[in-house]
Amino acid sequence: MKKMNNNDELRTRLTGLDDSTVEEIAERYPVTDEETKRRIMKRFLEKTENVDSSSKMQTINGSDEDSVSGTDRIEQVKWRSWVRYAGAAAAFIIAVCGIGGVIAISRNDLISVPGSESDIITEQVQTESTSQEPAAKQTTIPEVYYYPPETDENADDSGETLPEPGTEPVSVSNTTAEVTEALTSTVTTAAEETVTTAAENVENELSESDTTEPADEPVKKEETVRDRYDEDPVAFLTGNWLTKTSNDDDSYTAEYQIMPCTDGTADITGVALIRLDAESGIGKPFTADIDGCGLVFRFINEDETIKAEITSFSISESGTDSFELMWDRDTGIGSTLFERVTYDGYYDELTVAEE
Amino acid sequence: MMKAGDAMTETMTDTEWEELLSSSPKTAFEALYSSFGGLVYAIAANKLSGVGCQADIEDCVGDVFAEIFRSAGRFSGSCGSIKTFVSTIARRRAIDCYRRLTRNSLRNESIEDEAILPPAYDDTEEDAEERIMKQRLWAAVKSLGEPDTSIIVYQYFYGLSVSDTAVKVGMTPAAVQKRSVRARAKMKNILLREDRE
Repeated sequence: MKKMNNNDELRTRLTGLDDSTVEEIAERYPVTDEETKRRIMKRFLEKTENVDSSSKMQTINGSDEDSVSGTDRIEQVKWRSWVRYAGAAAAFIIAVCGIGGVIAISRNDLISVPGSESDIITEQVQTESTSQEPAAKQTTIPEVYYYPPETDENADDSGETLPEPGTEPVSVSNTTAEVTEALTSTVTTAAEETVTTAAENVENELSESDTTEPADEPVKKEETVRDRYDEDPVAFLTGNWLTKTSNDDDSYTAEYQIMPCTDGTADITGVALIRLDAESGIGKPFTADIDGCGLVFRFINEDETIKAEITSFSISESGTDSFELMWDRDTGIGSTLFERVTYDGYYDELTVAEE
Repeated sequence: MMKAGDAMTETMTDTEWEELLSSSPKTAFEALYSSFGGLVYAIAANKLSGVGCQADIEDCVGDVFAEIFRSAGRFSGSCGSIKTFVSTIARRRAIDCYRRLTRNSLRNESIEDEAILPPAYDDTEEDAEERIMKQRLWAAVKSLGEPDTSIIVYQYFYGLSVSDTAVKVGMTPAAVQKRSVRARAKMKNILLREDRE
């Protein structure tokens, strides 16, 4: 027979009593004083108010989370497991299909390599000239002629060629004047439309590759920014360095103001302030909430020049990393300041005003 | 209109309970608590006293009454008494709270699988011994006499502190502490004597 050792064991032993004993204790030694009642009623009312506002937690099966039995929970866990398996299988199939698609597209590209880009342009222009559709519906052209930003910058500077990786460069030298016209005109010829679309890739480094605006409307950068902000607000964050304060340990405390950029201007309603200091430490996360997007930043070591970097590793539920902020802790603000936004797999560097 | 917490709740029929549970939350709580507050609290404490604090027990009791109120549509006087209905929900909710409170410790000790597995035949004997031990323990507590029985129950069944227990039994905390020590020694002697016999 087991022996009783201490108070804790007595407490443990005096629980798990049979139902009749519990009822006897409840009748003879009730704990129903007013203070206890008040606390319990508060809890009760909180729960019932949640019910009244239809905010009850629902299980996968749609039943009340609070009222499911242990057996039901096991069934739900099993069901969730099957959902995970099915999701993994679906992801695998999609991945296989994606790889197959890429291979197929690559083969088609190889087949079409002998033809030059100019030929492709000519074919598309002819096709669309006969169909007499607005130029903006030529949404395939930006995809064909989208170049990496670095290459595009060069092309923009020269204004003459659009180098295509692995293929012949495309000449746009005779279209410079038409580009400007096409940006503001509402009626364009097929040739102008084609050139305009190609020129947009050159000039608008920050613009998206899947423009869907009709060509018979003026191509405005503000509208493009607005569309992109609606699609990915995080990609349009901007910021200002506000203050810096010298610390006792020869480091600086800096304040960085983050805000979403809409229509080319900063929207002051979404400002979040991040304070960076030496005490924050490497790896310690910072949180900023901007327009409902919870951004988390942390310091990481990069190299000797950049002593600390704040980079996002979690943005709301999207899981997208698209904002980086570099900061030289030892020299204070204004030394290595730039932010990069990620869009469609390309990096665009935006210079942040230095103090 | 029935007034909450009055003596009528003691003699209410199950049909009247059905009507009451469909009333406002506060009215239903007053009536439920005055009739079954002690029972629900005891059921919760019986399961949670060893693993949770008083706040955990009170949370559980609040959850029980909330579930009773939400499940009012499922209660029918023709299928069983309101007391059975309340007790069943209280036991189920207490088990849920117990699982929640012990989940972390089970994970830390890496015995989750063992806890999920059905009990082996070898455990049956231990369970029987445990039940007998608890019955002997409760008999020993009752044999202490008042106010020692009350002190032990409030301290070791409900998990109240010495000061709270002192308020319950109308004594000073120091006196409660002394009596508690003596009562435990007395219980030990009772159990040892039974073992020798």
